[in-house]
Amino acid sequence: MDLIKFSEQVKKSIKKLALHDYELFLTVHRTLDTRIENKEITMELNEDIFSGCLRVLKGDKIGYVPFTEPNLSLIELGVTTALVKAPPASFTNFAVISASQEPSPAFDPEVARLIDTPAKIQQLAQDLIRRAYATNRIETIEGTIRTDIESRLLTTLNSTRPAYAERTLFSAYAEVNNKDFDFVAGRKMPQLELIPELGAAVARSLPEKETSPAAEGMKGKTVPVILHPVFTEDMIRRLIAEHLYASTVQEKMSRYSLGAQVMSRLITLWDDATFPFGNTTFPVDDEGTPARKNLIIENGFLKMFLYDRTTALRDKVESTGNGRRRPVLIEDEHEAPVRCTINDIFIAPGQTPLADMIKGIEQGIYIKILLGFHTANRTTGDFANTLYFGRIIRNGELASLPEPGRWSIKGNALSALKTVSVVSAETLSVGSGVLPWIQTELTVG
Amino acid sequence: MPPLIEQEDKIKRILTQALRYAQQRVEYADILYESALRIELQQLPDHLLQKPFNAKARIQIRLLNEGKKVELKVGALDSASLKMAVDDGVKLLNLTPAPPRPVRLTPIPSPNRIRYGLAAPRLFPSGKIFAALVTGVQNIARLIERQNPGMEIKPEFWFFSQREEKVIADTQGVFKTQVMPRTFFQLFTKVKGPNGKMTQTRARLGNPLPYSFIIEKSGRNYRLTPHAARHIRNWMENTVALQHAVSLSSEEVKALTHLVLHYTTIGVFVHEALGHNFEADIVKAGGSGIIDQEGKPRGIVAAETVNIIDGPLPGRWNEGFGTEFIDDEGVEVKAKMLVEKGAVGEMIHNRETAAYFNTLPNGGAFSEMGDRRLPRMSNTFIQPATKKIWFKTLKSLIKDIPRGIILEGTSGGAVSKDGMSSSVLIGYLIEDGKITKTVNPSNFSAKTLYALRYVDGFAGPITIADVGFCGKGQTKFVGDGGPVWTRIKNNEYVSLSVQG
Repeated sequence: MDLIKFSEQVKKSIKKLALHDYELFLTVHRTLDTRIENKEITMELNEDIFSGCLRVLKGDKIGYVPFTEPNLSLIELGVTTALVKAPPASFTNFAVISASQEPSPAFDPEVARLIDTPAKIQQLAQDLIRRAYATNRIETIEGTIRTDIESRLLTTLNSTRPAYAERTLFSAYAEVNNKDFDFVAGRKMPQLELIPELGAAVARSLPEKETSPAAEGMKGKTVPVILHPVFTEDMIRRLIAEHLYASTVQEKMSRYSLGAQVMSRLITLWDDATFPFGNTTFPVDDEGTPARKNLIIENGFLKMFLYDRTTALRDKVESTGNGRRRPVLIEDEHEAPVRCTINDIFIAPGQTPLADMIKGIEQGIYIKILLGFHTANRTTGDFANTLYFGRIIRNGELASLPEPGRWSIKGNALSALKTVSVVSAETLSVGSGVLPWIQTELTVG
Repeated sequence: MPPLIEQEDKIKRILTQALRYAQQRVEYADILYESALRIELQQLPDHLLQKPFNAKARIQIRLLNEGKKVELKVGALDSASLKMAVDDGVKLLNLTPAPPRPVRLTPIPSPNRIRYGLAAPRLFPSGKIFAALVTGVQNIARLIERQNPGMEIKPEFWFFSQREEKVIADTQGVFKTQVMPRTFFQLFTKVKGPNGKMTQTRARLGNPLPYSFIIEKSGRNYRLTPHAARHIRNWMENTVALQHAVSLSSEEVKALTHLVLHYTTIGVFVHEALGHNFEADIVKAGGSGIIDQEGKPRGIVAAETVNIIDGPLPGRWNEGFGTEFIDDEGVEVKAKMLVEKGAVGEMIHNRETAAYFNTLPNGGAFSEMGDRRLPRMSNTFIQPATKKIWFKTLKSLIKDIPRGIILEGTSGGAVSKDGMSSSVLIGYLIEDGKITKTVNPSNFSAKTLYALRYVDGFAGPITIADVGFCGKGQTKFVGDGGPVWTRIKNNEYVSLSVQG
């Protein structure tokens, strides 16, 4: 579907409604999922999944119209309905999108070609299964290879041309024996020879023994932990970012203050929506502010808060390009409200090789996923969750697997980042950021 | 008489054309068309978001040929799009390797019954509903602030009410429709105390009912229903109470004799720990800690006093956030006895897993707006298998507990093959049969196969009023619950970790 053409049709169609301003957000996806369930492969194709949202301003009112059909009369009806008893807008006009904004690359033609050659993806899936089973260590294996092409457009009434880009996505994932997983994810084609190895590598890395906190003498103890980049990214996005948002500050609920040391001096953290092939990479954020890189924490000190247009107007500053549609529960992206949202997350690497970090711990835990971490307390940063994917470190080695349902890990995300003692030299791209492994302390419940 | 879907003739014509086209190319095809018309209001920290018009629709097509299967999600309900999807699907089918066992589907029972559902509004007085919600919630917050000087109460909420429609049609001539209303309200309360301490809770209401479940007409205006107002007030007060809550060390938790779980807490437990392990696709993949890949139980899962059921409450179709009459394959939804007197009962099936395990489908196949149809829970609840240990009141249930804890509310849970974890919003310490202190939020985790073997009491009537959004790659509305209170002897297979 041609989004630029459709956006022009919308412009013509709603002209008669005499709107003061509008902002039109459109996406269309084509996705091919190849699912692996033990030795079975199933394919699922999502064809032209279109969605959009029109925000409209009339007088001092703002209306919000999400839709999934490119149907002009339905959109008109939606606008009319949305403006009846609409609430007051927090701004008087939408952003004017700059025509000069040069997009960072987010489209890889190789990935786009792959989606049209499903036989090649099938072969990758078959090779992944074959190599995994060849290790003779597979009880169960589940995985997915996903390829996606997205067209994305944002325009407003007074913009000379829309922000428009095509973006690709390739991800592959394999989970072995319900004990551990590995993955690759990004907008650029990875080295394809890595894919068939995903399951086999996990299978070979699994220790044979499981252990409990009582057996390790760790119950109730505060111990050193190494946080995998997947966990750190999740913790920052769910619990830390909340305290970085100007909306939380304006509500007087943030634990952070500008210029204060809020993390270990070893942490330098930024977000970036201009990083080539990044997950959030697009010329503008979801309300037309040019994409940018924000240095948020430098050597542990807070340099800035993150703003969308609404919060920026309130503080009489510029938006930092963090106005994003952040969906929750049943919401799709197009339905979600624009709110302060961190872009792709980056932490500067340290000096210590990961292997040395592990060697330096006599008794500790390597944490990749805590079960139910989405339920952690985003107001305070407190969490107490069961260790799902990880290892128990004994005498400098990843010695055992955690016995399921036995390892409750508790702590506070804000405190955990203050007590970071080591940052690894290696980093990992987790799909929505690039982060190192970090060492801190948490308590076994 | 169940209600009609909008534009039934048009939809039937388009689906029939697509199915005829598919029939010439594959052995079997079916189509699911889902749509929702929703009004929605979100009170965010810094602004109010009104969506008086949110229309969504998606289509799922499944093609079967020579024991192979392919699934397609389509955005637009028009003949050309559906035909193109069929063509692409056939190409993928030709590439797909034959699975270890051919994919089969059980037939759809009652193929000639067409219409299902409950009356649902097409029009909503959204302006009045939204105004009543904002005023109602704010008034309660200000009232509680006045009663608790120094406390700042910051409520955020999310409300939606929708009319859902779905159609299931196949190449064997099945054509079924369902209309359902569904209304949801979530309150997220943050409280900042005089010393800067912050506490939070989350509370929900949801049912297959129109908006009048939350907002009712009062003269010319609208207002919160007494039930909704009570629920909001109760959880705002709980959030204030957490300002003075205590923590428990791991030694103090170990010394507890009993855990008493509110239906909102045990509901999430049975959903996560038990329910998911009975979903037949998880069993087939080897991911169930309760049933092996051949469908054989790995052991007893609960005390003999415990039944676990998934489905609607008998004859009560307007209760339970996950209630539907037919699933997304057109199979009538049955109450499924997952656990009977502590022993493994039936699994939750879609047509494919029912055929795989040589049994009948039981109405467990659901999808999120055009996604593939997976075995999913609807409303999962614990039911006492005997009246012997079923008390009328909480007071009588806890009177002989020397040192225990009451756990209430949840902000969700998660499951792994052998374990589960769920968050608890608030606790109350029981000392010598009496409630003495409020306890901080906690995390309740358990080893799935063993934790419910220690259930030794219940109190209050059964309710499935707890509301959830179950994630399994797709989000689904679910309900859960049980008797108002369930008592479990503290044991080595459960673990409680209290924040703070």
